[in-house]
Amino acid sequence: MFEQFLSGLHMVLIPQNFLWAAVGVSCGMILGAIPGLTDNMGIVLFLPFTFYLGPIAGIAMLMGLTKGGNFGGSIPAILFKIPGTPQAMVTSLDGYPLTQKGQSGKAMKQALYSSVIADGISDLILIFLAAPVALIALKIGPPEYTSIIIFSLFVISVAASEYPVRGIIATLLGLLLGTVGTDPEFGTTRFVFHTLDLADGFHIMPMVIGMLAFSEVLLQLEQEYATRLLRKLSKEKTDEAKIQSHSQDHHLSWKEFKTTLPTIFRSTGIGAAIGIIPGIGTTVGSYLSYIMAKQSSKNPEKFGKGSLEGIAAAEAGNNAVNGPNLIPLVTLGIPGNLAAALILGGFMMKGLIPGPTFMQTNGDMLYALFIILFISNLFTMGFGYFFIKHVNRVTQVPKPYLFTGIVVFSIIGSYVGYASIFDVYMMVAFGVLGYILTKFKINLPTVIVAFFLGTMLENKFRQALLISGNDITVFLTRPISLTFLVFTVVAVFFLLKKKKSVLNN
Amino acid sequence: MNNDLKLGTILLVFSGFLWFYAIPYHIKGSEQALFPKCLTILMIIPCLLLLIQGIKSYKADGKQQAPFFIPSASFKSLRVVPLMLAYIFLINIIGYYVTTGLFVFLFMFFFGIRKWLSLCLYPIVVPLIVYVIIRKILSFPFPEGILF
Repeated sequence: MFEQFLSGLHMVLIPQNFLWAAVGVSCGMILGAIPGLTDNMGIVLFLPFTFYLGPIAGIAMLMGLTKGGNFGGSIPAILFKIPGTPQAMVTSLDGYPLTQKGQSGKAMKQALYSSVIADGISDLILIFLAAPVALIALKIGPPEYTSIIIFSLFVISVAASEYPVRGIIATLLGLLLGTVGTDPEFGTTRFVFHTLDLADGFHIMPMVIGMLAFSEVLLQLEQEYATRLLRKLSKEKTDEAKIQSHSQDHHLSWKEFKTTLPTIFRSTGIGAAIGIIPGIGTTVGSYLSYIMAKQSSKNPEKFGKGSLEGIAAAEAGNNAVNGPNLIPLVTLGIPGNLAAALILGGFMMKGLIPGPTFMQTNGDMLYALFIILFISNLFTMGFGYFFIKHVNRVTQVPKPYLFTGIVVFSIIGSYVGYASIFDVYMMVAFGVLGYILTKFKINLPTVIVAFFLGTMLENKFRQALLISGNDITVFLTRPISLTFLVFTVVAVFFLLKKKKSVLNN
Repeated sequence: MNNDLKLGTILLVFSGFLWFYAIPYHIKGSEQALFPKCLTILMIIPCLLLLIQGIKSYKADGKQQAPFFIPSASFKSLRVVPLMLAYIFLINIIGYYVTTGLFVFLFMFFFGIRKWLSLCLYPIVVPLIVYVIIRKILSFPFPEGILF
């Protein structure tokens, strides 16, 4: 292993590799920052260019797009509450309130540093633990997936919301929304109400943009009218709404950042554990990390109101998924998510076939890729800092102009995914739904994450029953599955106990 | 009627809609309907808990909770929705860029902007920025309709 590592290091030290990694990170950041485009679309757009590059330069560019895109998606999430990528949704929960307080620069810097640290650690996990971790990934089948998703859903239901009953309702609503579309096994339609556009189910970006961004516009408009009404009644002059901030509000001090380090490391661990399991994804890693951070925090009441810990947890949990997500790809040839599947395409274009023997036959190249991945984090830091300095000025724009821009970009973000006007209508519908649910104190990210996991839960549950011959005890007889079910019961018990003691106090 | 009672009632009615209409008439096959049916049954549990909670707090407080919205402000903000729907409908007919310009003008006017320079410039600048970034740089086409 050490010889392969040294050989890989020797292969990496060519300026071309660094150049294309930098191009990937910067383009990924720009594409991730435009709602609806995402890092995955960036990989699709740039994949043909890798044909003309060397194997390391080409793959490094694709992986750089993912890294850049992950942070890039946080920028509009923090500034406008429009996540540029679905996984940035959780960052907006605390990032946007900080922007409203005139501290957007601080929020973005926290997001950047948390992303880079978590990404770096996850790359180290990839470099040093790829082989043993791959063995764990091999043991995870449909029963284990089902139990892991049930665990995630229960924790999210109980822990994410102030009111557990409403948390359960949010989860069930999300799961119900996920049943709309085509049945995964039989191919018949469900809940489409004779609308062909719904045969594919709801798309994630219109839902996220509608529920978070457009509903926020409606809430802000309502607040604006309510303020004007109150001022009219008290006969005060109405001032133009503007976010006021000073330069020191955008500065993130070492003292402030230091307090978030334990959260970053904890969330990196959670994100990395989620990343090992193919298919679960960055959104779940981000949200679970956020919830755990809230439970462990000395100031949980600050979460959702502009907590730096909240941003740190969301970004670290999100970025920590990336490295381990590549482990099943490089060691077993199984892509863990869409980005990994596209990167697999990049490998194959270069005549490289990831799989169980890849490490033996091309170990030096693999380590070269791992090293350039780790170094790409420096590009993320550099470009990210440059972006923050310039995009921050947007927060000085008065609210009416800002909200107009938000609405226009919400429409663009909803449309570009599938070039579908129906998706834009859905974005508006989800916006109204999000507005109503917020009024009833139903947690929106819980609905979205449950929607995301719902289809997978049903698929894996059915697969588990199919392979076990409809034996329901398969979830109890397989050790990893049983472990997660026990974790579920224990976690829910302790979370409810904690909530009860908080309410009593 | 407090919020718990309102929400519990709405969700109970929604569960009834799913169970008696949506599932029998819009899902074919018992296996396909199994998961939605399980979710609908599970939904009834928190609904009942909310209703019990709502009745308890109504009896304990003896008065209604504070309204969860100021009606006039809420209805004013929701007026944006028909404007948005009309905008989306007209995109395919008139074209994205012209419709966006019109929408930006109306939305800003609706939001209380009365500076004529802003009302004239912004509806041109926003579609122009979108055109440059999305159409020219990323080559992503938007519907162009009758006009543009």
